[in-house]
Amino acid sequence: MSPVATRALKGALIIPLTALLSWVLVAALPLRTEGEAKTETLRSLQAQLEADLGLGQPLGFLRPWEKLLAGERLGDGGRSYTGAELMRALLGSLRIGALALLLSLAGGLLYAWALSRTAGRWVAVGLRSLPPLIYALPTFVVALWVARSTGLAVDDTEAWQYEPIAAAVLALGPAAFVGAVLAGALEEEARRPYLLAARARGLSREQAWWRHALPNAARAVLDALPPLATSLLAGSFVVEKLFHLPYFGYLYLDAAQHRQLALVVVATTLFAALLVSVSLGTDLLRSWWDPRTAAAEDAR
Amino acid sequence: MNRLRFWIGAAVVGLLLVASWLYEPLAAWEALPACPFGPDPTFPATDTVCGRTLVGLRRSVAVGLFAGAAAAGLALFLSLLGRWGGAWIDGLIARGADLAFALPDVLILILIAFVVGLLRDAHPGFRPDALLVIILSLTVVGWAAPTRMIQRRLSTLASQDFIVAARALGASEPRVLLRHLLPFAWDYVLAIFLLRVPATILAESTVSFLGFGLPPREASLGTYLGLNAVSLLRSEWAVMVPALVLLFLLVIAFQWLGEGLLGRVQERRT
Repeated sequence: MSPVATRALKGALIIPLTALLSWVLVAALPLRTEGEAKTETLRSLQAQLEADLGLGQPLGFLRPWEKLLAGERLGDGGRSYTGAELMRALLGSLRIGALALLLSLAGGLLYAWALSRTAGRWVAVGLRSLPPLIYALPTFVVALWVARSTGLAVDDTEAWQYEPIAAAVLALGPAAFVGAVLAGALEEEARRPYLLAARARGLSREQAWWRHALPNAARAVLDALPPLATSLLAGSFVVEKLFHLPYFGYLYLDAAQHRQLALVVVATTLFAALLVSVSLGTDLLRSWWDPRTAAAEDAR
Repeated sequence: MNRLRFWIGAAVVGLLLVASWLYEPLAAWEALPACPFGPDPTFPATDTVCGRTLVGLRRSVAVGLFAGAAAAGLALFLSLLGRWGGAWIDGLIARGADLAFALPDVLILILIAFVVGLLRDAHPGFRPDALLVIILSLTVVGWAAPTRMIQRRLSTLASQDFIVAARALGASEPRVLLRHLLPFAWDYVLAIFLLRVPATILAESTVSFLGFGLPPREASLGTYLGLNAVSLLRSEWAVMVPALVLLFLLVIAFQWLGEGLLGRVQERRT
């Protein structure tokens, strides 16, 4: 079996494992009190444990997934969702995440290009100090600042208009990260003899940069994609909450705040699935982009 | 340059902490003018923006320092355990760290807050200290990256001649670890701890902002910003700007402190 397929299999195993572990974690909590539940919250928790999480039933951990596939509502009271509604929320988050990823890559590329063009000048010193300053700004501070000028989504129908703004806010930190990674990799590439040879054959500095240095340095960015996805996922909670976007991050926060047990279990599993998919996608992309990686892994 | 960054970072952190420690007693003796930013919007009768942000800063620093120290200590312990236990245990710890590193801090912190909240609802007698819970939660999420860094550092040190010589002279594995490896890793561990502090402060401020951190009465800078987010949307700058500036300064200062120390360690190594 190829190394990528082995890693895919290992990664795929994490998804049911997360589903099982998060279910066990919630099911093992001492939430069932003897006798009649005294408060509304406790009554709701007990109802959820039995109806949504299938506690005490054989293969109970499959219960929330069965309900979603059967089109039943998961959750309690006014905060319940069907599988289709969850998918819509997930797609909304994915749209923002994908746009933020593209913006991060474009921003990082622009930063690395600007740094290479200004190398040795005072502008480069200013550019180099940008990523640490951006890292020190929590996403919610930037989001608050932007929301001050743009306003917030008043209802669900307005949410799509705020997606590009949310994605741009979300992309700021990751763009600084990609920029720093790419700039570092390009500096290393610039010291390699093949670049000097390319220049000696008559290529301009710009041509050598785009045709030779960048494709080789891009491998470092591919390696950085999984942590980038993790960072985008963390940021999605903030921007979705701040701009009132009713997508998956917002739903997760709402479910955790209002003690929606089954929704938290399902959403945690879907987040794990998302991160595993990104990691697998990165592996495939890396093998395609640089066959040497696949060959080295085969040899190992 | 590294030395300068280290000292600037240390000076800024020191100044902020002194200001935060002195504010309450000086305000109590009425030795300070009235807070120029006005009363705190959440508790206008008892608190001012200055008091809430400076005390919040102290809580943010306390969370950062304790959780950072606990995470770095746990990472050091696991790395030493890995080296002592052999390749299999070392590999297992490394895989565990990789897995924990792959999940966003905020997601795990929300999950822990969710579980603690559930237990609090079900058992009215269960009232853990909020500060302790957030420090422990941040330790749970913060051990992975330092563990991988310390593992790599110990692995590099283990191949040095003086370690090989110590083994050849018959030193036992615990003695090699504690008497020969550890003294050379201390400065590195300290730098990692200092770098962990700003990351911890940022993670805490984000979960507190989202409503899963410290309660309003024991606000950190993140909780304060979360409680008053709407003030910025209404352009009430005076309520938000002091906390935003303090948070930014604090994170940058700790970053410089950690990076300065790490730079000096690396310079010394080369």
